[in-house]
Amino acid sequence: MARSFPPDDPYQLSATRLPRAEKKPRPSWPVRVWRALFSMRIDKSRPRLLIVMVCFLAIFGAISYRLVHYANQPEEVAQHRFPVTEIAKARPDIIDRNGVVLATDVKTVSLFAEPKRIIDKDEAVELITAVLPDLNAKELREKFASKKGFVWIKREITPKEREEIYRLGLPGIGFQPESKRIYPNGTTAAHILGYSSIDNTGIAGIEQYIDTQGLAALANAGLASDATKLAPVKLSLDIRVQHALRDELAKGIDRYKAKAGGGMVVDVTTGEVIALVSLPDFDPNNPKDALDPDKINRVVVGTYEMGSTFKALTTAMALDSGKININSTLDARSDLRYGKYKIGDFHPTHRVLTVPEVFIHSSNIGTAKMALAVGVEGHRAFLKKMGQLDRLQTELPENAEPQVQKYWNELTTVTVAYGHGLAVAPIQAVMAVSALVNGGHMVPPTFLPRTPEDALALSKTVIKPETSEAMRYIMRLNASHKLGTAGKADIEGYFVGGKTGTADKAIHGHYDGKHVFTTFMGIAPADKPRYLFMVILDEPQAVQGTYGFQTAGWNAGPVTGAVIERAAPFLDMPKRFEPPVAPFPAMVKLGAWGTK
Amino acid sequence: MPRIFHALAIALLIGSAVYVYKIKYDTMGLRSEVVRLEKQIAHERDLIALLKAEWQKLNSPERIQMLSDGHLDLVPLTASQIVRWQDVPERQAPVDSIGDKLGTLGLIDHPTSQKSPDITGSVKKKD
Repeated sequence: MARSFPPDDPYQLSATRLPRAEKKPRPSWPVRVWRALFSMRIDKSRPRLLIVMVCFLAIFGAISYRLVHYANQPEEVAQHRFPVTEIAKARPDIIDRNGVVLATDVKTVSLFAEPKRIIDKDEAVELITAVLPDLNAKELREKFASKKGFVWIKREITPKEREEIYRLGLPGIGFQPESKRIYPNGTTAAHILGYSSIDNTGIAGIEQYIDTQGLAALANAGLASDATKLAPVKLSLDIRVQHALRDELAKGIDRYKAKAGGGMVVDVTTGEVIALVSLPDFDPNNPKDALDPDKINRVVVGTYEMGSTFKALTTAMALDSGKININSTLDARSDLRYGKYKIGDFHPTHRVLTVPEVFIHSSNIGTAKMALAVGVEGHRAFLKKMGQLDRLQTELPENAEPQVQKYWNELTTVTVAYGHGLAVAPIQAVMAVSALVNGGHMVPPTFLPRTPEDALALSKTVIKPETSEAMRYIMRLNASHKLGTAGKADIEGYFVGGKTGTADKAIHGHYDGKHVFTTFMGIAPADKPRYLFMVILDEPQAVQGTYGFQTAGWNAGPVTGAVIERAAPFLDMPKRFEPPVAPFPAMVKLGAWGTK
Repeated sequence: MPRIFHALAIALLIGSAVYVYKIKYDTMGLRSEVVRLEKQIAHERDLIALLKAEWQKLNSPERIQMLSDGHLDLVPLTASQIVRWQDVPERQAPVDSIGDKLGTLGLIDHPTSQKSPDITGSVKKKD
């Protein structure tokens, strides 16, 4: 039967050719599908091949597509190379206005242990204490006995110690690279820089400011994990001036046996702090040193009754209000009386004084009368405008709220007029006096560089330019006139002006007249001020050479003079050999006292 | 003919495989070199930071002043030391006092030095 098939069906697949007689019952459909899957019939193979081809094409196509897709994707791997912990540890360098390094990071290694992995704990303790003799063996043994997964053995070890520990070959002991903050100038700018903890987080000063500012910036940038990528933070400080100020102030404190002192050099056109010192200070390389409450930043955190330097504010207010002019006369013949209080002058003149005379004689009576002419409300509003009644915020996290009397009556105005009964931070007074002499533009002080244009844009005008000229005139007169109190700060060639202030300190609620707080505000050059120099001394004594005086003209004044003389060559303030021509034209025109 | 073609194709295949292999290994070598150099750069940078810190520590004004006070006779600059060029006094004519004395005694033939002020052009004031 097999041979009878036609040759065109060589595989004998044609079911129709099967003899009808041998016809089997048709299998059920699952069996048919099963057979169809595994039977080979050439006439039906074409679509199968097609299916296989499509499948392969699809798979290869997908693979090719993914390859191309991956190749075009930006690389993201590189950003996660550094452990997250290093981000918090790297800090940007801090540099001064000339690029001198004030704070920088140095890489060190710290020694840690994973107690669970230490095999012989006693041996480990013995070997490690042999290399690091300053470690307490008992404490170390306790650390190793703890169930913690990780303990520090010693932070910041030297490369030599690292090498020796490494050679011990102890399991469970490891090294962690860390950044250590270094302040190469030591104490010089301590109060501005602040300091950072062993984990390299800012604790105080600009270091803390960087943390509050920097975190947001870091998150925005998304990288900057190591210090090399962090741009250095530039301050407005000049380390040379800073050192000169600190050194002269330290000498002054020593000479006048003062308890403490402070000083500041400010650019009055921009509000930039060029130098700021508070003594006693600390070494930021040894942060424990800073915790002593005697080492606070007196210029920023301390509040003091500024004494007669406040008379500059009162005089400016009176002149600016128009109720008093430079030629007005004030009767200082008799003391002022308020109930049991009597207000007299330290250098009594017992005569009628003009405004410049009131200023250079530092007459309490005259100044009080000027304030009374403006009135209690006007006086308060003016001090508010000058920022003397509110907390002053700078980049430094430290600041202080001025101590303002709750009930402000006429007596308050009288005492505040000459700088008693209102305690402010010295930096606040500096800001106000800067505004008085720079043409009336009040600029908040800053520790970061600022251009004069920026300063002008964010300044607010507080007094008229003519009033400012009058202030410069009387401050200059105070230094140049033989009766003035600021003569000891008048360094030739710099046309210095200034105002002294001696405030009695309240000891247990009383002014005993023995403890004083002296201040000096010097401006240079007085015809067009660029810098303001401030020196404060806490409880200076009358020493040899001061003729029994402990007033500012005899201590804070000469210290300021020394600072000006020493710092001027570093500052943008060339010495002048001829006195300026017509420095105060409006004053001459008005014929003010002292111009003839 | 097809045989040569086949041989050629096989040779090309092997050749390209060897080439790809080489490129791959070269890249690996270069990559480890890059890692090594990056590490070296980081290390050098750390050292530079350390040196900078040390340099500033050695140059800190406080230390310089201490050294200057201890080893030099210099005093701080005062304002009166800053003067204009025209205020700088004229250089004195050199005086040969021994020669003058000998000249007046008639021991040697010496012209008195005041007669020939020995001022060079560079020192001479130009106003």
